[in-house]
Amino acid sequence: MIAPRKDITSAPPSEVADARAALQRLAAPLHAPYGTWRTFETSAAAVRAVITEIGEVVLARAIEVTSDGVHQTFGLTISNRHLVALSGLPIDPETADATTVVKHIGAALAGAQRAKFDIASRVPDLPSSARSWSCKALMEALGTDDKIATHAVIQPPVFEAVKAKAIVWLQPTSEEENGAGEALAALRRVAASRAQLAEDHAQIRRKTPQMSLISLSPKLLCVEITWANDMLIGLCDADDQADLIDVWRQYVAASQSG
Amino acid sequence: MTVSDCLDALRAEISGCQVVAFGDTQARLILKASHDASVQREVLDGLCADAARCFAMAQSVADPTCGSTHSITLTDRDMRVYLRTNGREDFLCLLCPLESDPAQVLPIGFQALAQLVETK
Repeated sequence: MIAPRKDITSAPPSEVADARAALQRLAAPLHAPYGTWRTFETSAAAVRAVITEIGEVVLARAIEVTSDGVHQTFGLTISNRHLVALSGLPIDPETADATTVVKHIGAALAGAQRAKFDIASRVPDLPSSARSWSCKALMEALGTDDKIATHAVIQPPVFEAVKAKAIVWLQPTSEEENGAGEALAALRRVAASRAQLAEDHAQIRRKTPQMSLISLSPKLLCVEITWANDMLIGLCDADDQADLIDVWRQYVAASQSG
Repeated sequence: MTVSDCLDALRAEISGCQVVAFGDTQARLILKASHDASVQREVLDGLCADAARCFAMAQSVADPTCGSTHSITLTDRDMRVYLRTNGREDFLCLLCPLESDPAQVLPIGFQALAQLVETK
């Protein structure tokens, strides 16, 4: 056995990690990366695929991401394993950090079950700004929490607007609730019957965002919002129906113009 | 006026309406529908399942004296309106553009449903 040479210093841990990641990428089965629809179990898996794509690109390239999620299309300009520009997402490149970028990509892909990447340009215009986000920083921002999609960017305006109008509300996924008395008890019964329905009819589980306004009486309305894996149920005054519909339309318009 | 005539007339009355369907929540079936050839059976099945879900959710807390109830489901591209009267199993379903006005759709929808229930 040959003893290791003691006069050669070992590589720093970050280089070892990079080399290991590169070897793992090399060993992984080759995806048909461009122009092919890929199916993802969760939105977070789709976000991870986008960031992995950023880590795969060395020579400058503009990639168009198309999904069946909220934002059908957005663009990435990538160079040297760094994201250097984004299009189609409401991000201020001057101030956004990696976490913000990941959250916006997550919000854009919320509810997405399929996505595909296409090369928009092999000679893209690169921004003159020195600002960019490395694959490593984005992957760190994504972390290991697969609940990243759906949080913090677009969800709150809709959820918060409904919570502000609701007499009582509950969010089963986060076990939060607000309200008391008979109204909350009634809402819990609605949530229980919904859970039972979901068990009985698996096809009812949806990934696409939607809001249902269910009339319970001339004065009372049940509001249900499903967003990817999150859900909000509330009871509102029936007179708020038009306002709630406006809130939803505004959210859709903002999402699509984003 | 036949059920088909009634559904066709209602669809014509609502601008951009893709589907008007008459179904049964218990049987989970669309019994009759008015739509163009591009609408597939899966869309109708999905609407029926969604209507059944909305009405079932309301059942545990809804006011039993309430004569007519409705549900409106909004997605990123359309508005689905489900109507029924007196807790009956049959219902009317409308697939409309997202920008449709419920204040216009609901009254004419309930009017049509009343005719359909009489016809039935």
